[in-house]
Amino acid sequence: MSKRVLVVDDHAAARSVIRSVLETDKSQNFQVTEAATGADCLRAVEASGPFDLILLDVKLPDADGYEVCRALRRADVRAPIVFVTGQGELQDFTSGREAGGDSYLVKPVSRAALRSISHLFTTLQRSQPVDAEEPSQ
Amino acid sequence: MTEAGATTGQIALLHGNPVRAEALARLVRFSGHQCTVVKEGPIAASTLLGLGPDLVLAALSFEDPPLRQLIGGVREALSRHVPIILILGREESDVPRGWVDDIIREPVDPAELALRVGSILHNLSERQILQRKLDELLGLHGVSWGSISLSGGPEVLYAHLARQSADLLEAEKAVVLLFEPKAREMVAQPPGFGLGPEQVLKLRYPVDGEAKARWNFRTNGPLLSNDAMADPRFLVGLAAELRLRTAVIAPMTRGGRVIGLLLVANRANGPFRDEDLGLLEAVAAQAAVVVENQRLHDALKDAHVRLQELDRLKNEFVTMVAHDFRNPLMAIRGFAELVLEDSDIGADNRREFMRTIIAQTDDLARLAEDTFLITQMETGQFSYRRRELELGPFLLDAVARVPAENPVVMDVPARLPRIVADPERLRQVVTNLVSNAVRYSAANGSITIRCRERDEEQILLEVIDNGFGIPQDQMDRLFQKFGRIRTEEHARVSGTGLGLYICRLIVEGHAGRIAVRSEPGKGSTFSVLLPVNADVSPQVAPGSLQASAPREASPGGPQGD
Repeated sequence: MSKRVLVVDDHAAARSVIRSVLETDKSQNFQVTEAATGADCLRAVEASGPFDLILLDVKLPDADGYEVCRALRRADVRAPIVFVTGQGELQDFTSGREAGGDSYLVKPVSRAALRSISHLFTTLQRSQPVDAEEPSQ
Repeated sequence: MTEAGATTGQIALLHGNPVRAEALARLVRFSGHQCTVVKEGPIAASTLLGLGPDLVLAALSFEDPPLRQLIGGVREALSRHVPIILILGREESDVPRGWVDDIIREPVDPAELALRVGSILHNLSERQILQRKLDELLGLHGVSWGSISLSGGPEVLYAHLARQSADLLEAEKAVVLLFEPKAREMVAQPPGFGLGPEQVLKLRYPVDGEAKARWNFRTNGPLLSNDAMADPRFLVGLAAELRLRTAVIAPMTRGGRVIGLLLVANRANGPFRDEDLGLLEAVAAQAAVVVENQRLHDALKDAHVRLQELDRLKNEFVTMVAHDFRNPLMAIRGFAELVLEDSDIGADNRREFMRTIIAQTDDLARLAEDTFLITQMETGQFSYRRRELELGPFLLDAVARVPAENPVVMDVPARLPRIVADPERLRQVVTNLVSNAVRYSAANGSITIRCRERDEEQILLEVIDNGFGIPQDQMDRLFQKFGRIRTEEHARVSGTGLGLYICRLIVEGHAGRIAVRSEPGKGSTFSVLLPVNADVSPQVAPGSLQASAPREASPGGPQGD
């Protein structure tokens, strides 16, 4: 069974590298969908959700990643959300957690980190019934 | 005034020839002064300091220690002006007047010597009397000029100076005027004392033009008039306007420049007297020091604020750039890892990944280059390398460098004037504009490059697309640093938001203008107006400080063809 991952990033090569790293992981069956903006992200969730994991860039051209995250949670999207961000932009993960995010990755993300955290979060979600999970902790 | 001629003093005589020195000393003593000969050598300075002379008579033959250095040191140690009369030999050429107060030529005429010495000592004593009187008065009024707080700002200071000057001279009105180099006028500084705000606002005293015929404060010193309205030395109408009956104006001088005037008018009891003039002169001298201190204080404060702002802009820039570096780095790292460690990815994928790595490396290099260029231009360190260009071939070459699948129309006449420009930078403008046109258009959108001779001195270059267009309310952001357009279509295209900002810096660096007109959904036309010969343009980049401050509709506005 495939694990559906939504990658939200305005940088095409960044999206493409995440897709390639995940889809070439033979131990998993990741299937990546791309979105370039916050608006695209919300549309993708509505049109082709649910996803098993959302990788969300913090700095999007049309919105702040945290805002997008809040909007997703308001729309009752329960997929784990992992922020992908630069080191300097992330003093601590408090704002990410407050927005309803589950974890974060720091750019440039290593192949190993990307694969293991995607694996972890998609497996976690699968191990619990969807409606037992709180939208935000 | 003090009694003339009768002033005597302590005089030091410095001469390289001891016999001649003694002869001159006798002459001086004959006029009733005390005179001590100071011998050359290591104790000359301490002897002189011990004497604390009122006046120094010296010859250039006194060389150990060097005369000028010795006098400078003594003046500094006694922290007062010790006047010096230089005795020049017949053969010696003139010395610059700056550090000597008077010159006497050998052979010395005893009567002339007595006169010159007497006159300097007289002036000196007059000044000392005035200074003493000023000190007394200041003490009486509890004024300490030096202790005025500068942090109160200039207005507090000017109010203080005006009120104290009026009080000292028992006058009804007073105001500080400061020289404004741009207008070449002395401008009254609000608030005055005994003058209405609108009177102060109107009070300007031109120093050039017809004013030259009137009173030159630098050469003539202070001015006293007990019939101000009829006095031709005054500015016509000024006295009437301010209702000045009697007035004293003293220049505030720093380092030989008149930095302002102190005007006191309408003495309460009777006319102004000569001693009022001297008193105001002394006050003006002190005021000049305080005003200059105030200026330095303000300049320092301004510089501090400016630097903080620059620092903030720089930090913001670094943060943005650092962010923009991460995405290409991420792509490079990820794809390199895949190629290196995943043995089972196909050859096609491998090639694709390597191509992306190379493209991302190029992006990084461009970003680094742009960052460097912007920093250089903003800090005025960039210099253009101009040469003559054949515009037609130049444009063809520049446009060909942009990889595009869109149809590109070159509407460039065969005959165009040669222009003077920095080819590398101008090419950057063209490629930036064309590549924007490609990226912010549909895949099949056509792009036109049109170039026209606008008149004999200007070239109009236009890059026209029928792409997304720019919403009216975002036009202003376009040429600013990181001023990316926020529409859904634009958001899908990655960009740093630096390209058009650089274009603007370069075009303005060539004394040209860049503008855009656009309609959302229909397309945009970017136009660059360039002087044919741009070698007179400023080298310093526009808006070093205002770089990211909003510029009112600046390079906006349609240009027309």
